This record gives sequence, structure tokens and C-alpha cells, in this order.
Amino acid sequence: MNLFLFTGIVLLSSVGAGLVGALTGLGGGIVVTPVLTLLLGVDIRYAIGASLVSVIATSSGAAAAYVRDGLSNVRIGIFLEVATTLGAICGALISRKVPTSLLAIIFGVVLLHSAWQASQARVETSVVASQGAFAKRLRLGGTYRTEDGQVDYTVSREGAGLGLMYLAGLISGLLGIGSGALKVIAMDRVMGLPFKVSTATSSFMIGVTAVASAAIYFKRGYILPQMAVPVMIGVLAGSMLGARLLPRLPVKVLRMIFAIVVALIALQMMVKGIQESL
Amino acid sequence: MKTQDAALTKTISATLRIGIVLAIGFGMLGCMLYLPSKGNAHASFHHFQGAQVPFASLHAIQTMVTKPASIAERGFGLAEIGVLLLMATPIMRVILSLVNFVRERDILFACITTFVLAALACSLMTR
Repeated sequence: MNLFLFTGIVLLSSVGAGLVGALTGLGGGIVVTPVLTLLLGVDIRYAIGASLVSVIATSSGAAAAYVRDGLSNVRIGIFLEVATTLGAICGALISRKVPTSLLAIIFGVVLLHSAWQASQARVETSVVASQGAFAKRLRLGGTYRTEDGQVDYTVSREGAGLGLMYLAGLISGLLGIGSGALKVIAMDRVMGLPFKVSTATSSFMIGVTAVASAAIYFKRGYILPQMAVPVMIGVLAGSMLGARLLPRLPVKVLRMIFAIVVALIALQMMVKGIQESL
Repeated sequence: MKTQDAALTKTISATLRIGIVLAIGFGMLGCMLYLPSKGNAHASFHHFQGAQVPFASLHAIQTMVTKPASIAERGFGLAEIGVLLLMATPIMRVILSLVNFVRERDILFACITTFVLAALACSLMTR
């Protein structure tokens, strides 16, 4: 295969990755990694580097629109980033002392269950009832527009949410993947945010989480321009498209897409864990 | 309260937009310089070459752009700069949010953002 063809294939599949990444709040690595490793036979370390680029590109591309449209709750995002970055650092510190293959299997099972849960609808309107005192002080509530008008929402159980975010960061530091899924689930299921706000806020946050590991990948030579540039341009285009689509798509469809992608991540994780422990 | 967050979202949205434009600009320019001459070369990334590739050091990339051996090499250098600009965007976003919170006298969120920035700096330096 020559470089023209390689660039073309990577560019096109990255548009799809950006689209999926922006709609789910997960970042698109789930598409980029298999295309590069299975289809194009790229070394896994280059694929990891490209996947990291894909996460950052999704975050920038999608969040530029989500933040402007008020879909990403910037305050919640920044507030929760405290826990994810702290978790990521702790995860990286203890990663040599933890049996990561066993952890990957356990976390895969947890994610599979979460995928099923996330596919179930939840009543989203007028949950103004139980706003946490701390959330009120931080002014974490917000408003977003739908076709039926404005929806006001508040945040509940922000402490439990922070704990889960720490766990999400820890897992991403330990296993390298899967932190986006926990972020969305924590906001949707625990903190009671509308699903679209959860995915859009996750999109906003994942760039910062990913950038924390960018320096080490760069220094190790994981990031090659021949791969990273078509990934970057494709994912940026796809995620900007996804960010335009999300406000118009029904929550039911978005939940379905999210559940399928999370289930795929869970299976990928379990397979990886089983392979490593054999 | 509304006006504060309007300034904040405007700052963040603009930062991300500028980052995107710069990253795509450098990336495309780089591709246009290296693809014509390297496009028909065999593309194989089966073997990991580690940190000996020039793309692992800022200094080497600077040399590729300022004193390239060929046009293609300058293209690779510019393309890699595009990727680095993409990576710098989230960091810039955190820094500019901090500036915004300080300007708005939002002490609580200024502290929270400072903590995020410190954690980010810590993970960038140590690992």
C-alpha cells in the first residue's frame, strides 16, 4: 500500500470516528484503533498514539460547538476534571503494582452492565427537586435548549459523582482506555444530568484527560505525522459534524449508539485482559 | 451570573476554534508538501521505531522545518507541529479559563482550575 491510499483510508475512517466520538462523548478511539491495527497492520504503539490524537481532536472539534450552544456544562466539566486528573496521576503511579489484566476483565464486566443500563430510558425533564448544597454553591446547574423549549436542570449527588470521576481517571491511568464511558455514566445516572448534557460535557472534558498522557507518548515516538495528521483532520471534521447532529437526534437513538459503543469497549477490554492473563 | 458564564463560554469556544484552525492549517500544509514526493512510497508501520524517529523531539522538528534536507521533510515537520498545536489546545483552554475566573473574581473556581492546571503540569513533567 502506498502513502496516498494509506492517508485516504485513515482520513475517511477518522471522519466516522469523530462522528461516533462526538455523539457518544467517548472520543473515537474505538474506531481508530481497530482500523489501524486490524485493517492496516499498524504497530499497536502507533495506534495508541493516533487514538490519543483522536480523543483530543474529538474534544476540541465537538466542544467548540457544544460549549457555544450551552450543551456542555463548563462548570461541571471543570469541577469534575479535578477528580479525573487526580485519578489519572494516581493510576499511573500504581499501575506497576496492580494486576491490570484482572482489572481489565472486572472493569469490562462493569462496563457491559453499564451499557445495558445506559440503553434504558430515564425521565429527564424537571428534575429540579434535589439539588445538592455544594452543587448550589458552585452554581453547577444549567439550561439547555431543545425543540420543545428550554430545559432547566440541576445536579444532585455531586460527591458521588466526584468519586466516580476519580475512579474514571484511575481506570484510564491504569488501563489506558475507557474513561469516557464512566464519565458519561456518572453524569447521566448518578448526578442526574440530561443525557445530551452528559455526553457533551464528557466531550468537553476528555481532551484534558488525554493531554495528560500526551507528553510521554510524544517522547516515546508514538506520534507519527503520516498517521496523526489524517486522523486529526478526519476526526476534527467528523466531530464538528457530530456536534451539529447531536442537538437534533432523539435521546433514545443517542442512548442506543452509546450503549453499543460502550458494549464494544467492554468486550475489547475483557478480550485484552484474558489475553494478557493467559 | 449569566453574563459571567457568557464570557467564559465565549473564551473557551474561541480558544478551541483557533486551535482547530491552526492544527488543520499546519497539518494540511504539511501534507501538501510531503504527499507529492512521498505519496507513492510504500507505507508500512508494522515496526515500531521508538524514540529514534525525529518526531520525538521538539528540537529535531524545529530543524526539520528551518533547515530541511528536502521539501518533504519540511512537510513532515510542519505536519507534526499541527499535531502538537492540537495537543496544546486543551492546555490553553484551561489556562484561559483560569484567567477568566480570576478576572470575574470567582475565587472558588479559580482555585479548582489552578488545581487542574497543576495536576496537568505535574503529569506532563514527571512521566
